[in-house]
Amino acid sequence: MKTKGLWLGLAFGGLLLSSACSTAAGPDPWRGYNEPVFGFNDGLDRYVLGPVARGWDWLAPGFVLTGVDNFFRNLDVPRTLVNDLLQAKPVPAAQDLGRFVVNSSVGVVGLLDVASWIGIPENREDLGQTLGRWGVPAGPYAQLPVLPFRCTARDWLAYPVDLAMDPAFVAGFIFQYVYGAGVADVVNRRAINDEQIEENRREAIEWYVFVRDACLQDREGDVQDGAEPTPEEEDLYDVEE
Amino acid sequence: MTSRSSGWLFVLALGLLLSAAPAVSAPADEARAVMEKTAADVLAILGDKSLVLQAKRDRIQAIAYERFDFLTMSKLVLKRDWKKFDAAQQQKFVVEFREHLSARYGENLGRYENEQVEVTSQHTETNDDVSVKTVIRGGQYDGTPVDYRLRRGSGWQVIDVVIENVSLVSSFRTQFADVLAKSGPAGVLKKLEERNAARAAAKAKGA
Repeated sequence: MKTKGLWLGLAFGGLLLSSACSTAAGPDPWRGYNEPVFGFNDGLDRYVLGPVARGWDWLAPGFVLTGVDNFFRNLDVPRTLVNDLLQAKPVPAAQDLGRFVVNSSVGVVGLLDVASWIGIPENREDLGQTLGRWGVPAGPYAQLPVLPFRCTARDWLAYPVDLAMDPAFVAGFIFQYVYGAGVADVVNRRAINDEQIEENRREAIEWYVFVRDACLQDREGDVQDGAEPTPEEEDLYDVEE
Repeated sequence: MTSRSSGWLFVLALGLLLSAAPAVSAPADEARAVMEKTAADVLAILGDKSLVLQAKRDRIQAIAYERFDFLTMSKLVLKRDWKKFDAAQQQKFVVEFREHLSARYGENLGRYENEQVEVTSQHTETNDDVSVKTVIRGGQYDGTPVDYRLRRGSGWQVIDVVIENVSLVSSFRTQFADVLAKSGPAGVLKKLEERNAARAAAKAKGA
């Protein structure tokens, strides 16, 4: 998630394959529904989540925020590991297995990211990426109320399965604190990325489009794993005189 | 042949040799060298403790103005719509867009925590562009990939920045297209001016 904060911050950016833009509906045929839902989520972020997160940031020292984030990111690793295997990626799978073992033990239940200190790279995989890898198209952009975790039809369909691979969710489900863990993670992440999010909201030319395309482009990149761009994308760099 | 003219020939030959030297290396290597130098220059300014933040911003802005091709970037983000802008509007757009980009970079400079930039590889792309891949080392964003796409005009200049899969040109294109569809070139310029003015006002208030 920390890397996600970067583009939010340093940069200025989001995506769309230009081929997708050229069709009338583009990647957002459900815009009439998405935009009001986005507006609702954005209001929730502005007036509830943002202030709560800034309160938490004020209360907790930096190392606590980092520790909490490390803890939850470590719990994402089983999901990543399963999807490494589903995508036939043995090397990342080995890295992620090592990461999870090291951080869960030496890293004190994941609070310390020891794996990064000793040079084990951090991978991020989920079922949406796996489906994309095997050829399932992203489908339309899709917002759901209150839950801004995924942004395409494909990824939302995969989301329940991703949750089932999340130990915090599973434990929460069993022990009835399911919302607590999720809320803690969301508030903490929101606190870590607050500056970037607020700056982007202030500066974006069209906030809805900025957020939408950033998510779509990020997801596309995750599926492609930074592979060489397709010819459609290359048209991005032709100047029309 | 007099000694004088042979001396002149020698200088000429030397000059040709020197000017030919960079051409020996492949374009991708040239572009990489440009980015390495730019990164080194910017990091040196950021790490210079004798400079106050504003002085750092000014110097880095000067480098950015030289190293980024804002005209090409403007044409790329507006694409077909570029022609819907008349000459004065085009000029205005380039100026406001440049201001928008450099101010947004400038805002982030205050967060510098001794990060370094590692240039990892370079590739030739379509249009004889070169993409130079870099990775941020250290700090909060350790390991984040930042790719620069360069095109040769008067020297190699950056025409896009791709951070963690997200292309600056692509992002702005869809946002501007949205505004254009609603309110045309005048609406786009108004929006850019508003953003820039609001930032300037906030800065004046804070100073």
